[in-house]
Amino acid sequence: MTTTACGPDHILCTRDLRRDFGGVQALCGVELHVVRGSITGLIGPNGSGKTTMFQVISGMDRGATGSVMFDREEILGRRPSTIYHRGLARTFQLSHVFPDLTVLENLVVAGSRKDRSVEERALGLLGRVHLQDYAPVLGKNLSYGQQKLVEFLRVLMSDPALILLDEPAAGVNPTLRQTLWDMVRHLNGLGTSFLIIEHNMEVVSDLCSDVYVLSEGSVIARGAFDAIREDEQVLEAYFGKTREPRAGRGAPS
Amino acid sequence: MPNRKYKDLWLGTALLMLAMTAPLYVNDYYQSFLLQVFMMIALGQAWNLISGMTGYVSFGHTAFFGVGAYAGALLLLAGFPWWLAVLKGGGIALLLAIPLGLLTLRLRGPYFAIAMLGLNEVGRIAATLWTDLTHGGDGISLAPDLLPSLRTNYFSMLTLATTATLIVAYVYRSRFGLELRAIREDEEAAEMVGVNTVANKVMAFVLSALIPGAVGAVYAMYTSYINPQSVFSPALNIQIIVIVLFGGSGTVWGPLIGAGVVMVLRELLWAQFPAAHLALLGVLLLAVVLYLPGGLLSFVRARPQGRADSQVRKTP
Repeated sequence: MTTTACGPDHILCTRDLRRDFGGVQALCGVELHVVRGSITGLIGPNGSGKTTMFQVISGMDRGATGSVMFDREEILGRRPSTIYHRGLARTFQLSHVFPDLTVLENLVVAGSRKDRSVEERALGLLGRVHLQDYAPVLGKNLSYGQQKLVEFLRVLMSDPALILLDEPAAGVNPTLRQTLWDMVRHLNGLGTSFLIIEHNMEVVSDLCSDVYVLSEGSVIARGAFDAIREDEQVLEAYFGKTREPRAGRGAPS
Repeated sequence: MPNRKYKDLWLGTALLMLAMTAPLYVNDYYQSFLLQVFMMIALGQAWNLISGMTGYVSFGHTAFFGVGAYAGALLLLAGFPWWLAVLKGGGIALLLAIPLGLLTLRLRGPYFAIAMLGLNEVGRIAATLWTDLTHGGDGISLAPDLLPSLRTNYFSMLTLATTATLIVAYVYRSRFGLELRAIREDEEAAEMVGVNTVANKVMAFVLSALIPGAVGAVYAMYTSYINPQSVFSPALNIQIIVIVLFGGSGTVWGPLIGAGVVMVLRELLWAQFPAAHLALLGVLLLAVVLYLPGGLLSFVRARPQGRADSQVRKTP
C-alpha cells in the first residue's frame, strides 16, 4: 500500500487513525483519502471497522487518536454538531428517524436556524422523491425504506460537502433503492462528495471511483473496484483463503 | 394548524379570565384551593420543559422550589418587598441551575434522574444543617405583618402559572422546542444533524428552574412557615410528575389538565373517603398511566397521524 499525501483535491484525509476498545484494536492506523467530488466506497467483512471509521470521522466516537482532516481542517475530537455545521453529514446503518416528529419536522430540525425558508426547502426535497404528501406523518408511521430515505433527505438539509452513507440501501425496497442511488448520482454531479459503506458490490462497482477495503481495522487494499476485486488480500479477508484459479468474474460479490 | 392555534388561544384566554375573576365570587377556601392548582400548574409546566420536552426525567426539581422558598422567606425577613423576594427567589434558582445543569446533564436516563434526586436531598440536608441561616429543622416562620394577602398570593401564583404556560407554549412551537423534542426522540441523531444537545439541554434546564424558584417564594409567603421537609419534598416532586403524566407529558395543555383533574379528584376523594382517598387516587393514576400513556390529553385530542399508508397515497 502506498501512502497518498493529503492535498487540496482531497476533501477528507485520515492519518494514523487508531481506536481500541479495551485492548481490541478496531482501527489500526487507518489512512484514507476522499477526493473532492468523488464517490468513494468503503468495504470490508463484518467487524472490519467500517462503522467505527464513520463514528470517529463524524465525531460520535471521540476516543480515537490520529488525525481527521476535513476540508483542510482538523476535526478529530470535535462535537458531531460542529462537524455537521462544517459540512460533513452522515446517515446511520439502522434508521435513526425521529419517531414522534413528523416527516417535515424531521427535515426542518436538520436545516439551518438562520434559514427562513427551511420548510420550503424540506418540502422541495420531499417532493423530489415523491414523499411530499407524507410531510405531516409521524416518522414512526413510515415504512422502513421510507424512513431510510427520509434520513438521507435529512442530511441534505445542510447542503453538506461530504456525506457518509452507512449501508443506505439496507432494508430498502428496489424502487426506493433506485431513487436513493439516482439522488446520490445527481448530487455527486452537483459536486457533493460521498463516502459509502455498501455490501452490494454491483452498486460499489457502478458508483464508486475509488474503493478502500478494510480488514481487522487496517486498509488492505485501495483503488478502482476492478483492481481490488482481484486483490489476493481482499479475497482472503472475505473468504478466509487465497482464491483458487478460476474462470468468470471475480469475487467479492 | 391555525384553527387549533386559535382555539387554544381562545380557550386559554377564557380560562385566564375565569381565574382572574374567581376571587370576586369564591370564598377564601376555594381561593386557597385554586392557588394550589396554579402552583401545581406552574411546577408541572416547569418540569415539562426539561423532562417532557427532552425526556430527561428530573426527580429533584423541588430542589429549586426549596431554594426559592428559603430565598423568598429570608429576603422577606431582611425587609425586601414581597414581589422582589419572589423575583429574586426565581433568579437565585436560575443561577444555581447553570452549573448544576452543566454537571448533571452529562448524565443520561436513570443516572440523571438519580443525580437530581440526590440534588434535592443535598438541598434538604443543607437547609437542615445550616442553622444560622435557615434555623435548621425548626424552619422559618414569617410574621403576618410581613406577608402579602391571600388575594395577592393568589394573583402571584396565577401569574406564575400563566407565565410558565406561555413559556412552554412558545418553546413548543419554536425551533428551540423542535430541537428539544428531537433530543427526546434520539439524542445521537439530533447531535448528528447539527443540534447542540448540551447547550439546548442546559438552556431548557435553566429555564425550568426559574419558575419553581419563584413559586417556592410565593409558597413560603402563602403558608407563612417553611421547613426543610416541607419544601425539599420528594413527595411534591412525585406529585408534579404524576400531574404531568396524567395530563400529557411534553404538551402545553397536559400540565393544565393534569393539575386541574388531579387536584379536584384529590379534594373530592378526600371529602368522601378521608381514610382511603390517596389509595383511590393512586388506582386512578395507575389506570391512566397504563391505559393512556399519552395522558388524558391523548384521549381528548389524538394527534391526526395514523399509519402513513392510510393517510396518503402510496409512493412508488
